[in-house]
Amino acid sequence: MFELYKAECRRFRWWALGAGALHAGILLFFDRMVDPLQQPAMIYELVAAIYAGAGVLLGLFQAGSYARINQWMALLHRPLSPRRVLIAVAGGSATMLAAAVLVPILLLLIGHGLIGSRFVDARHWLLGLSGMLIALTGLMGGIYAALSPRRYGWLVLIPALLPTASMAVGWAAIVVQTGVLVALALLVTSAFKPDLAEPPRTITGLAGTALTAAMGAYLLLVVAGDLVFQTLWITTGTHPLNGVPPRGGVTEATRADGAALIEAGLAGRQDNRARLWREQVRLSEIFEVPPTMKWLPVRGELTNVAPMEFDDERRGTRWTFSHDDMRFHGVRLSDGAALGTLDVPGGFDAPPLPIEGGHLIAGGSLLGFDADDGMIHRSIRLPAGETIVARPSTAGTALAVMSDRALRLYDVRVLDESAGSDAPLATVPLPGPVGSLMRLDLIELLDGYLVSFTYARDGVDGPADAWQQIVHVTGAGTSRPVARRTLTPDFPFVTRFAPYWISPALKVARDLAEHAGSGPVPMAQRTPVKIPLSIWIAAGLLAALSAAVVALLARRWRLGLRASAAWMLATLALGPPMLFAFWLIRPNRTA
Amino acid sequence: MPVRTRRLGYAAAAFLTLACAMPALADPLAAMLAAERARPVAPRFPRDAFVSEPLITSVTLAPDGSGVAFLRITGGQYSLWLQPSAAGAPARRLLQRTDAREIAWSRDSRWLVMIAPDKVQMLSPAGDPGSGIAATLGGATELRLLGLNPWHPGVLLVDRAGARWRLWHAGPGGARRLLAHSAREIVDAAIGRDGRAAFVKLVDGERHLIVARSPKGGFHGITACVAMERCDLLGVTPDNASVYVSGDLLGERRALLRLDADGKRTLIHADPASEVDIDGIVLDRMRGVPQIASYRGTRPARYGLLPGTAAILARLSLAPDAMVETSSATWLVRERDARLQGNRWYLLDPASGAMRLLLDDRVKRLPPDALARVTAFTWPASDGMTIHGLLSVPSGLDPAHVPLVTIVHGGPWSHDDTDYSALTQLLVNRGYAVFRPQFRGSTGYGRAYMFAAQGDYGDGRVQRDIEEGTRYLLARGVGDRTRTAIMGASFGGYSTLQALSNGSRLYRAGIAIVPPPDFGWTSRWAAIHGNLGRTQGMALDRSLRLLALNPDDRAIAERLHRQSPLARVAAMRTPLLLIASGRDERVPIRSVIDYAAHLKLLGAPAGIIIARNQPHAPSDPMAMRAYLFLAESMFQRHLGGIAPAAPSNDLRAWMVKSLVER
Repeated sequence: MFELYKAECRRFRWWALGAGALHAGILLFFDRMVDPLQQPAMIYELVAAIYAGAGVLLGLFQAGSYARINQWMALLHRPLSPRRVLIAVAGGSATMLAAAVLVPILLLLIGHGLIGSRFVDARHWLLGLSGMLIALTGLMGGIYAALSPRRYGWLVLIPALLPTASMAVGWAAIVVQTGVLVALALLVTSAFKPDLAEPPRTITGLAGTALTAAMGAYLLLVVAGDLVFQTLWITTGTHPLNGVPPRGGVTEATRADGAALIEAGLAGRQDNRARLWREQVRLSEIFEVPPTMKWLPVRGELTNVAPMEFDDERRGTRWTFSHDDMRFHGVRLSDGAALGTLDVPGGFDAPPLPIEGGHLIAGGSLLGFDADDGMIHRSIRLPAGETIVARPSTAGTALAVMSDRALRLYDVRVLDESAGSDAPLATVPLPGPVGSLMRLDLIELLDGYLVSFTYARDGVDGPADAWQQIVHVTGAGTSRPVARRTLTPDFPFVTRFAPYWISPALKVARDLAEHAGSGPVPMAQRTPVKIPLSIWIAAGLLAALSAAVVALLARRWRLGLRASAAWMLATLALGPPMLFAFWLIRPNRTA
Repeated sequence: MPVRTRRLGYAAAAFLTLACAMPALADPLAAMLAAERARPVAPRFPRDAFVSEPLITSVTLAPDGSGVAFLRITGGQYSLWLQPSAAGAPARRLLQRTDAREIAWSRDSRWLVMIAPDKVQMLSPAGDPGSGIAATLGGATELRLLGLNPWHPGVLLVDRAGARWRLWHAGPGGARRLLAHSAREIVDAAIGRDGRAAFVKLVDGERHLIVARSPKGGFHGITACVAMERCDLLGVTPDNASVYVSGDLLGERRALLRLDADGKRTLIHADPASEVDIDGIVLDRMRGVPQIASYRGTRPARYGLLPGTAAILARLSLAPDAMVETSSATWLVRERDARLQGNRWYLLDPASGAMRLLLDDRVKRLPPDALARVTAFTWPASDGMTIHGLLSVPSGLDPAHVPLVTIVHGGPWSHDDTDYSALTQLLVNRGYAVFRPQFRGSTGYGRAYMFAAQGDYGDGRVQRDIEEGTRYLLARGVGDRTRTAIMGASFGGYSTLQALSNGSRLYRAGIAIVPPPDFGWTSRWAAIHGNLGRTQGMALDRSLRLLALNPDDRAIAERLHRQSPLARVAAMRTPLLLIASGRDERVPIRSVIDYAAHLKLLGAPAGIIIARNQPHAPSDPMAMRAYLFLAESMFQRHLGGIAPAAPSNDLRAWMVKSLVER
């Protein structure tokens, strides 16, 4: 076994050496040009895709070279069990791939920490581990694609894309990536058998393959089905996202200019006060508070929402944030000399996100770097437990700061006068979960504000309820709702709830998998979806019908009673995706 | 007694004779109306020609008279130039590009101090070492420029370190020397010839305190300027024992006086006509003593304060309103006149009185002879107080049959001057008489005049002054009473809204630009939220309290609201054009929009225009051109006249982009 392993290592050693050298060269080059550890998440995702792609190509090449009948027979006809053969063969390529990926990253991290005064956080070492896991996941995916039957192999690989959708951060992300790698390795093991065209021989292998294929089918039905449906709808010219959207609908609300939206929100009121407000809306500048940020920095996360650094141009200093000691570390731009650390009295609530104008968002604090004294000052601190979720913006003479619980309006001078009071002029509690808030518009009144909250996230083509609420904020800072309207869904009921009626169980499984290990994500707070009874009934009927079809197919394919029952039960639980998986896998009598 | 009676009788007879023989001399208004009617009708000039941009600015003469430094403006970029005084010598460019917006000479004429919004630089035209940034303004200590050091090359700066205020001198190379420090805010200083701070003005609650350096060191208080008394330090006397002050410590009008270290006040010069504040004081920069005092009252006048100066002034052939900068050799004379667009600078030879044109900040300007004169006049208010005003009428027309436009200045604590006004000249050129009331509360006529309003800025005494001024002119045969209009910006807009909604029915149309619809609300808002800064270290709310407009006084707020155009919006039945600025830092746009929404809701005959990105007082020439077009159109529509020319393509494009019309 070890000889086989060594042979595989030798087989790929020059490739690995070349790829590793190229990889190291590129990383070290970029380390001289930019700070590779302070790139936005998109860059890391791109690099991860390259690692995964390299792994897939290697896996396809290696397994593909053995998958031809003669080579396959020669490989398996060794004095070793197939599993040990697999470990030796895949282990060899995995070792070479891991070395080509991990060693340059480690070199980069070591060099980065040694050269100049830059630092490497603990999270950055995990980044190297993550890169290796993703490359190995690609390798396993490539091997599986080469060895599994064409009918369903590709379907099984769809759930392996979980790391791209996972919200896990830090160590949790490593756990998720490891889990996917292990699951893929097990699937590869189940596919590593003399007759490659047959489904897995073991029950566990078959069950794992079936469940993964069912999830793949589910994702395919939901995503590709929706894509096909919308494409066809667009070709008919009646799609709500094409042309003029339907009146009173979600699309109209999301696209409307602020004045039209607030006016529409007040349309239900005909009293004099509302008429005056409508006139004011027509004359006023509409301030749209910037959209909520999907991601906020979480301590120990592998990547960055945005580069965690800013420059003090007056002093020629770059300040970079370290998650380890939660302080900024200064480096002189001219010669790279260390210039100490920078903190804020009371410390940072969370890793600070640099935004425009020299400001920083850190949990519930808005801070600002003062170029005059070279210090960071806290301009605003929200009550404990609240998190700023959008870039603060000016609304006339006020500064609008949105947290996960309330919109707060401050005197805009709060940004300039660090010694001044940070008491808000007004606090407007959010009328719904912040994650469902699509847009927020406001106008100034003589004394106070008129604020429009539009809750429509997941309500355009998704199942969430969409609505708009107008809130009047008085000069004393109190607020009360003055109008509310429901926004009509523009998409058909059937498509909006497709993920539910196709398979409620897989929908839950998907959500759980994507949210597992996530950090504190305010935007994950959503209005619970109210699933109509008709959807439950439809899901039940479809599952029952699918199970019946499975029963018919099982009978036609002469499956055993227990196997048929297991498939039927699985189909009852998971619905049409399992039927789809069953039809593609076509288990034989032994299964 | 009989002898005295007879003499009085002769005097009375002589006075009556003079009064009958020279009515024009006794009544400048009648003289001006007669003179203007006798002139030919002015040709109609294109509207945009009334607005033009300067090519040079900040022209200043070296104290040794060797040359004149100035900033040239090309495509929005500023460059620094030096024009030698010698005839025929070409101007030399010292800097191709500079951030400076103002320049000044050091006393030794070796250094040019260049003042930018964020820094002060010093430059030696001769190339002496030390040129560069002298101070970076702002920063953690809020460093700000106080003025020029009159004796040593450099500037005076003030900053704040903790609870202490520090006075600095900063010279070439940025070398800084501490002159004084205080627990109170330092807002002014007079430097002795020894380079030390001799007199310092401090903020002390709601008053200013002037302190003098004691012979044994330290400072002692010598006087306080209370209740908004003005007391600007001009410089120390040659014996270093006293300080020249421009202020109203010795009377109700601003004058030139000397303040001794023991607090004794001595008047040096005040308006002989007892009419206006002193307008300009020229110091002999070599000796540091006052040389010229000037006034811009009904009759502008200049007075020489040093031996020989009066004789030189008498040789000045230009209008008496010209500004002068002296030196040990030549003098620099800046011509200014209501009919002169921009400025022209002349060099005057004090010995011979010969003058030659040195610089002109316009390539092309409207012919001054075809533009309107501005005449200052007074009228008696209904309570007996004498109120000032400015009047311009179209030449060659019967003033009784032209429409009359009343333009109310903003502030209200400011005043109109007799310099060129594009709006006034355009309207007069289009055949309107233009009246600019300097109602009580205006500045420039003394403290008593300014305080005479007694906080009555609702529909009260101030508004009466404005409307009574219009009625006075109508009664004097100026303006067709069926074709009257009122307009103004800021407080002038507020007054316009008052006039159109208080039931006076005096005006047939109005234009209110950035008006506060409720003066009390706006004052309160500015005191709490406004970012207008401090005047001589005095916060706005303190100034308002001294002006009987305490923003915290509910009774005042209620009175002003009760009398506000906002409270009377339903009475607005006169055609109105309301213009608001979207970036108004003084009158919140929200208050104007609230008022405009009420107008719309009530169906008032009001057009509303919002200049989205303009501040309270736009400096954008396109905005000025647009407002002139809007004013011309509005008045032509409601007062008659020739239809205005359509806006040019660039102006039309700007208006489409920048203005929102409802």
